[in-house]
Amino acid sequence: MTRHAESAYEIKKWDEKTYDEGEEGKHLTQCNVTQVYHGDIEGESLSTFLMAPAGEASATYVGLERITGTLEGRSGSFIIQFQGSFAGGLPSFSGIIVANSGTGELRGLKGAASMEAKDGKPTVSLQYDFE
Amino acid sequence: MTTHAISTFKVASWDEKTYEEMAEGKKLNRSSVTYTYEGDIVGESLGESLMFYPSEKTASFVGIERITGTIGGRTGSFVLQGSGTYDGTTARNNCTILPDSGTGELRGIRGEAKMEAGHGPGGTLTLDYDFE
Repeated sequence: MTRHAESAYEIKKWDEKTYDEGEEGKHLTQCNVTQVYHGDIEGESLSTFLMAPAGEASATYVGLERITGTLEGRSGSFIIQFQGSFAGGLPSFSGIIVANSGTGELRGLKGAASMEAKDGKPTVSLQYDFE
Repeated sequence: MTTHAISTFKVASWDEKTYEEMAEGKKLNRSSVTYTYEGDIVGESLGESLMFYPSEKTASFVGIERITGTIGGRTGSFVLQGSGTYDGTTARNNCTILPDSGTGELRGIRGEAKMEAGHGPGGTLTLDYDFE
């Protein structure tokens, strides 16, 4: 049975560096962000993503995020793979829980993941079950 | 009109590091790879990937790659964004040309790409593209 979990997060540390200047101002950056979750997910994460400019005021990115903590009471870790964008300063992404990424009591975790701002706070939603 | 391009690539340099060791032998790696292209695309590229290894021999990854060179007689650069898997023998990567990533004579390029690489120093990129 698929379950729905939702959790807002706070950014603790944002480390961003340009690794390729590109041409015509189209530089590519790599970001390492540590986050703390409160909600159906309790824990912390390391999100790593690669970002490229996409139009005047937005950027697009792909990345992996490792979340460690508890998901509705089960403890362990898992990885989200995502593709998203910043539009109007607000981030959003859609992605998956990566197969075989779950550890501890989260072994076998699978499903979909998405992120969007809710009440001004970035919030991750999971639709998940177990193999 | 969409143009189909086929190019072979070779790895010129490969720098891969583990940035997070996890329980049960799983790990997260980051790689920076430079490629040279021949065929319908002539040029070079820098690909950055983030890779998850659930075991020693398989991985799933996301990445972006900036290709600089000539395609269909036009010179410039563009960026591919994609995700893929490595099953122990073959890496497959499905990519999108990022909108607004084209520069020079490749400004406005858009489309899709597929990349496939087995063991050995290179692989094949197919690109279906047109211009805005």
